[in-house]
Amino acid sequence: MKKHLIVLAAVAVIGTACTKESGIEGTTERQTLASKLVGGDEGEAVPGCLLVQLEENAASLVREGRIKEISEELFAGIQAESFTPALPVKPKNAEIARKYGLDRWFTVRFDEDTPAERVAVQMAASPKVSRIQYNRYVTPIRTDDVFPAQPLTRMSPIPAEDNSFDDPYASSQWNLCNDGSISSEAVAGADVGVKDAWRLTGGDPSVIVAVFDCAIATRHEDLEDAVWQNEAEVNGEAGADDDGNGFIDDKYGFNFVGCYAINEDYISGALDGSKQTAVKGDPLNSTAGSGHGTHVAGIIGATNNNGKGVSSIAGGTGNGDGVRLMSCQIFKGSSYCADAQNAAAFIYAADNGACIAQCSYGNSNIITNDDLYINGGELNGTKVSASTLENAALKYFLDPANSNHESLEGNMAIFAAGNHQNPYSSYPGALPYVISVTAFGWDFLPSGYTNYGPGCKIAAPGGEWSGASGDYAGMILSTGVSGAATQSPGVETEKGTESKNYVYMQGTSMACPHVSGVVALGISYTRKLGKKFTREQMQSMLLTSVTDIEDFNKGGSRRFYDVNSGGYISIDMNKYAGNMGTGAVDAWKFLMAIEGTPTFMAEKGKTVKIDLSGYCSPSQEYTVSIDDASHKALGLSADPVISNGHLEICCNAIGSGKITLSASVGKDPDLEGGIGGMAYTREISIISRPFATDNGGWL
Amino acid sequence: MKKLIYILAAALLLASCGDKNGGKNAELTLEEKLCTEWHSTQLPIDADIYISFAEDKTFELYQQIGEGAYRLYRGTWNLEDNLLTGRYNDGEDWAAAYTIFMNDKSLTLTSQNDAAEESQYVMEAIPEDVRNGCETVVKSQSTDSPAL
Repeated sequence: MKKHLIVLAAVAVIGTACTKESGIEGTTERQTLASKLVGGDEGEAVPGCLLVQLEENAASLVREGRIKEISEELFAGIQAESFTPALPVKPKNAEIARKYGLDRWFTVRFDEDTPAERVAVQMAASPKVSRIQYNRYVTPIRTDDVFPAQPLTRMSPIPAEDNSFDDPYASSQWNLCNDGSISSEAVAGADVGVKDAWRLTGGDPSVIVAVFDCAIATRHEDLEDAVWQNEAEVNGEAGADDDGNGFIDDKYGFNFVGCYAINEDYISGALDGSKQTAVKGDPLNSTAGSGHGTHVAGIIGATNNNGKGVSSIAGGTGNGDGVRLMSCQIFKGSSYCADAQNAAAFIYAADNGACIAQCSYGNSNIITNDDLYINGGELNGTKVSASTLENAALKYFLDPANSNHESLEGNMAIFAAGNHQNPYSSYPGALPYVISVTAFGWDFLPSGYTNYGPGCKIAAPGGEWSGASGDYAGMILSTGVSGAATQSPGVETEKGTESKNYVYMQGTSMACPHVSGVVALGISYTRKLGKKFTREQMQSMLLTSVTDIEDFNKGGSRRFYDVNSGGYISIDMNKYAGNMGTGAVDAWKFLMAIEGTPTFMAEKGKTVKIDLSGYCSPSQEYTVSIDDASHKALGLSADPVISNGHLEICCNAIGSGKITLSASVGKDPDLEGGIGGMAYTREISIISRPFATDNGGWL
Repeated sequence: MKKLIYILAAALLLASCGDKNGGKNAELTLEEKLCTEWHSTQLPIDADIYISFAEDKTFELYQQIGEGAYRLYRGTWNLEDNLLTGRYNDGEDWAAAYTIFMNDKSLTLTSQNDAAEESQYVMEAIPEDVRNGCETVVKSQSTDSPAL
C-alpha cells in the first residue's frame, strides 16, 4: 500500500474529550460551526467519522508528516482515532487535485458513540479548519426492489432477419431496435437508434466506461471479454499493488464499499487504513449484489455477435472491438459507500483511464439548486446533506487535464434522473456539467416512475412494465446475476424452463447506460474519423441528436404504478411536456453530428425553410446567431429565424456562412436561482447558390 | 503454346473489363453510356458527389456538402435531345435541366439556366463506406416512374 494512502499520523488521544452531553455550548461555537460545516443531517452519515478540509498551510504540514505540530490545536477536546487523507490523490495529479481542494480533505475518525456534531464544533474552532462535512451515504436509485420481475411468457417479437448480430436475446431488445411489432402498444423507432449506427462503428476498446454501481459480474459469459483489465494486476502478484496506483489487486476496478466492512471477502481497505489495509480475495468476481451494475454494464457493452446472450450499444461487432467496462463498486446489496469513498471512485476512474462515468444513482431528496446540493441546507423542513467532496471529485474527473481519451478533451459523466416521479432531476445529475437521463417506454411515453423537469437533459429507453401493457417485455433485457431480485426470461429446453443470467429491469438506471453507451459509441467513431472534441462540444452534439418526443408528452392521462403509494394511479401526461430533456437519444444522429457540420443549400433571392428535425429537437426554443462575416457573405437583409422547427433564411448573395443555434435544457423556469440547466449549441452551414432545390438535393 | 493461350485469354479479359459495357462503348447511345456510376472532380462549391444512373431510369445521388456526412437522394431521370432532367422521389424536380457532354470516361453537366453552372465527373464506383455511412434523405419509391 502506498504511503500516502496509509494513515499519515496515528493520532492517539489528543486533548481531552468533551464531558458535557451536548458539547455545543455557546452561540459563538454555533456561529463558527455554521460558517464551516457544510449543511446536512448527521443521521444520514457514517457514525464516528467526519470529513475535514484544512487550510493550505495546515494541509501541507499533514502531507509532510508534521501533523504533530498542529495536532494539539486541531484535535483540542477530541479523542481522534485516526486522521487520514480522504482521497487517494496521486502525486502526479496533485496539481489538478489542488485546483479543487481535494488534497486538503481528510477523514477524522473517533468513537462512534460520540456525536459527530460535537466533534465538528470542536474542530471548527480551529482556524486551520476551513470546512467540515458529514460523510453521508450515497443513495442508489433502486429499481430492482421497486419493480420485481416475473418470468417472461413471450419472446422473439422482432423477426430474426432484422437482427444485426447473432446474440440470441437480441430479438427481445426493443430498446436497441424497435420496429413496433413487439406489442400492439409499441411505436416503431422508440429505441436508441443504434442499428444503423453499427454500420459505422460498434465501439472501440480504447473507450473505457467506469460503471459506478454494484460490481460488474466480471465472469459473466457476455461480459468477460468486455470488462476492463488492469494488466499489471491481472498478471501481478496477489495481495500486492503491482501497478503502484494505491489499490491492491484492482484487476477490473475496485470495490469502494469499504468504509465499514460489508463482509470479509468484500473489503476495500485502501481508503480506510484504520479498518483494513488489504483487499481479501478478488472483490469483483463472485456475487455482484442485486445485479444492478451487471445489468447496467450489459446495456453499454455486453459483447455483440458472440452467439451469447444480449446485444449492447457499444459491445463491438464480434471482433473484440467493443468498449471496455471498469467496475467502480459503490453499492453492494443494501449497503452503500459514503461520500469520501464515492469521491475516491471518481478519482480512481480519472486516474485509471475512464473517459465516461456511468452513474445510475442520485440523491432521492428534491434539491432545487446547485448550492443546496453542494453545500447542503434545508428545504421545506427537510435537511439536505452537503455533497461538497463528491462535487469536487466529479469536477476532477471531468477536468480537461484528466482527459483519458485521445478524441475527447475532458471526460463525461452521465447520471440517472431518478425514479421518484419527482418534478426535478436528482442530483448530481441536475448539475450543469453532467447529463441527467429520463426514461421512456416502448411507446415513447414517459415511464411512470421517471423524474422529469428541471435538471433533466435527455431521454432514453428505461422500460415500462406497469403501464397499460403490464408486459414484462416492456422492461429492459440485459445481463444479470443469479439470485438477483429479478428473474431471467427463461428459455424452454428439454429440461424445462432454464434460467439464464439475463434479466429484465426498468428505471432511469437503465435509461442512463443507454446514453453512456451512445456516448461511448460516439467517442469510438470520433477516434475512427481522427477527430477530437471538447466535452462541451460532445454534450451539445448529444443533446441535439435526438428524436422529438413532445407529441407523446402531452394530452390525456395514463395509468401507472406509483412508487410512492405502492398503488396504481392515473397520471396527467401534460406534466411531461417540455420536461423530458431535449428528446430521445439517437445514436445514428449522434454519429452524423460527429461526422461534421450539416450544410444546406439555399437559392439566392428566395426565402427558404430548412427542416432542422434531423439536427435538433424542433420543440426546443433556440436563439439564432450569425457572425458579421457570414451575414455579409450570404447577403442577408434580415436575420434568419426559426419557426416550427424550420430555419427561415433569404440569401441575396452567392456565398457561404455558418449559423449557430443556442438553447438551454433543464432550466427551472419558475424558480429564480433554481436549477440553471445545460446550455448547448448546434452549428449549421449555409451555401447560397444561384439555384437550389427545397430538399437540398445537389442536382 | 499453353502460355500463348493464357496471354490471349488475359488480353481478352482485360479488354472486356476495360469498360462496364463490354468493350462496345463506341456503339452505345449517350443514354446507355450514362448508365454507370460517376464521381465529381470539379464542382462550383465545396462538395463531393457520387451519382449512379440506372437503366430503369432511376438514380442514386450521394452528396457530401461541406464537412457533413453523405446524404442519399433517390429519384428518376430522363434524357432527351441531350438534355438531362430528373425528379426526386419526394416529388421535387431537379433545380435545373442539364446538357451533358461525355468524353471517354468523363461527364460534364451544364445547367440550362442563367447561371450555366458546370460540374465535371469521372466514371468511378461508389465506395462501400459512402453507401454504408450515408443518411437517406429521399428514399426509394415502390412505383418509380420516369421523369417527364
